[in-house]
Amino acid sequence: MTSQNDRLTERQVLRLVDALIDGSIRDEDFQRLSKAVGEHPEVLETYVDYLNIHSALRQRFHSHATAEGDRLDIPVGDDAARLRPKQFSAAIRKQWKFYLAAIAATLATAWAAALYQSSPNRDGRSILPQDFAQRDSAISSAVEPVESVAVLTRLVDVEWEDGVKAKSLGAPLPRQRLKIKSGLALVEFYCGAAVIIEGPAAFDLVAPDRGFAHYGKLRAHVPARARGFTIGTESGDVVDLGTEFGLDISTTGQSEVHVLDGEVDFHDAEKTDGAPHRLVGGQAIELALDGAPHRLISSDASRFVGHKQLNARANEQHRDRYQQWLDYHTQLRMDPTLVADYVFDNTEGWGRTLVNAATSADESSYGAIVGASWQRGRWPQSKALSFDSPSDRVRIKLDGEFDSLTLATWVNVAELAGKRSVALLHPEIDLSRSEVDERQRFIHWTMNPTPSGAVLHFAESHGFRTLDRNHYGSVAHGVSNQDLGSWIHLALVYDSNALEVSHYCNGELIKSVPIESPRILAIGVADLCNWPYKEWAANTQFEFRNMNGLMDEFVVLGRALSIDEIREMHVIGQP
Amino acid sequence: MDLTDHERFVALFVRHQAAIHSFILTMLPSVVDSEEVLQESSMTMWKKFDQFEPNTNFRNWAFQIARYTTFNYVRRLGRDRHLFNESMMKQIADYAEEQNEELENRRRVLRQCIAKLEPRDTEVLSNCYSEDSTIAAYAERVNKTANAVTKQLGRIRRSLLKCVRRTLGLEGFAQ
Repeated sequence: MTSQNDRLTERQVLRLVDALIDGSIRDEDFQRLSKAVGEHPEVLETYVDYLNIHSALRQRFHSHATAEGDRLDIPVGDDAARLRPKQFSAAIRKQWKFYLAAIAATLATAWAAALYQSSPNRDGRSILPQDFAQRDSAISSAVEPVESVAVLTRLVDVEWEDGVKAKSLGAPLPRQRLKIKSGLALVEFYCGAAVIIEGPAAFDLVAPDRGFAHYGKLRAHVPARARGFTIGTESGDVVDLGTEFGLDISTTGQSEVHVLDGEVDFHDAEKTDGAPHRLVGGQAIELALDGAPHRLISSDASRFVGHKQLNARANEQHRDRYQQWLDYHTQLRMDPTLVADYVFDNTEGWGRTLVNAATSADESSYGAIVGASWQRGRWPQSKALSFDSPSDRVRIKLDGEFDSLTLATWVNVAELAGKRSVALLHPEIDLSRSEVDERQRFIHWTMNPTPSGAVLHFAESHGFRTLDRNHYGSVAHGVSNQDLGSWIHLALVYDSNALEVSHYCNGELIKSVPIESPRILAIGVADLCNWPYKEWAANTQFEFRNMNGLMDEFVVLGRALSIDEIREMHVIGQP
Repeated sequence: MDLTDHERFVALFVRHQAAIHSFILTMLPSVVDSEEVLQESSMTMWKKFDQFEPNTNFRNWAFQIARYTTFNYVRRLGRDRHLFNESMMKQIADYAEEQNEELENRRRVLRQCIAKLEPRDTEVLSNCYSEDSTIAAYAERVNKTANAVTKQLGRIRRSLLKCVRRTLGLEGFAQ
């Protein structure tokens, strides 16, 4: 028996388990731990709890290969089981690849090879599992972990350099090179420094407190708490000691540092031993490349776009874009197949009604806002509903039956983790009523979270109890965690002529799934951004399906929109 | 349904992989060894998949195989290492199996806790838990001693344990 005095505190237990995990535990400590785990239930509990975390961390971080993946996702949980056969094998291939990369880098067993080869590779190339695993780890070791260092908070008329993927507003930015052909971008580093980049420019995001300028003009504002923020250049490092400076670097490498306010230290790359040049407000330095002495000149704030000009230009752009979007909706409302175009700007009176502006719509189709509050929308002039608590929702009722259907929305999702399913449109199914109509039709449109984002999911059901339900998931693609916090356009098209269901994100077709036998669809009573909570779900993983974030547009059309129409919707609606 | 057994098996295995790995790791607390056992177990599971009764609990079935694969693996390992004896492993496995749903729940909560970490902590995790890197290699890259990184890692892990418990309204045992 262990006496009370010998009992390990939890802190001690955790230290011992840490040592066990990293292999540094001493013999007597291992005996002590082992004994405590065997004798004291609370130590066993802590031990298992902690190893469970250790295991989950390994699963989460063992491979960087998918972290950088562009809209690449692994369906997890029951996702796989809900898929229809064709998608299913595609999903398995994807999962299988993941599994190989994850735990079987050296796996070369016959059954695995047979299994892998039994289904053709996505791009038709035949790759043995070993090769595949090796290729993946080669990629992952070349890829730096994706850590965001800054966020993009303003874009004015930005044209990205060819071959560079456009970045959206609010997007967290990992370490990377930003190459802008023209326009203005405001990047806010996590340390608090804000940098206005004026195209043409090439600028590297290096760390939360560090950038590197190759060429172009930029103006940095550095608050006191971000003191020490550094921008590297070919000629040397510019270290801010507070407030504001400008940098102008020509493509030939000649550069000027202008201190607009406060102080800056310039560390000359050529003279690593000497003290830095200290520059104060009003001073500027012209850096010669050929080793010639630098020339002190006076600074000129007018050469660098400041926050006031940036805001003015951003507002101008917003006004234009907002007007363009309004015009588009005026046009859209003439479409005879339009079922709903909810207007997210009704803050008058009670402000709890979401008007359906479709020409054919009557008040019965108006949405009732529950809980959600009004916030700024995609533009300063527009509004959005913010869904925060698990009870927030908009209850709608849309009548009609449709052969084909399009659902489209603009959302800004704050969080995806922790739920099995996040509702965009979820039907009311009242199981408590005995007379549940088995002929009743439902549709579900949800985002189903995965470790790196969410897959998009659409289901249509005839009757509830019979579970006569067809699932159309976006399998392995969808919303990425990188999209969190920025406005995204999502669309779903059920096309009974083309016999396919298509999922779109930001105007891009991310997945088309064949329809085996088309059926009539109906919406009826449903919730936007939530689901009509049911008692049976209490304390289960189904309990919460509310979306956490903003919505400022929801459109329903009783026909299948073409890829071009969806693209137009996205282009016009982009903030 | 025209799913092949292969497809059915892989889908089930992938779905329960995290639970199975956690289960093995509690008995055999070494990442390298536990992954070896996970791989061996998966092959046994596949070989015996025709004995698995559809519509019964795959995880329970998989745990039995993982349990015996671990026992056998540990028997093959030398005695010069820090390994639990068989009765300890059994005791731990019984408990972990009984708690498997709760542990899954905690892994889910853990994801939220990871999301809340400071970027520099996430960086430590992704470097130390990556199969492409080791603590020593990472320590060298960032100019620290392996010991310092190990300590940092332990601190992050303990803060995650705390976060999971706080989220679930649980407390550790008395200090």
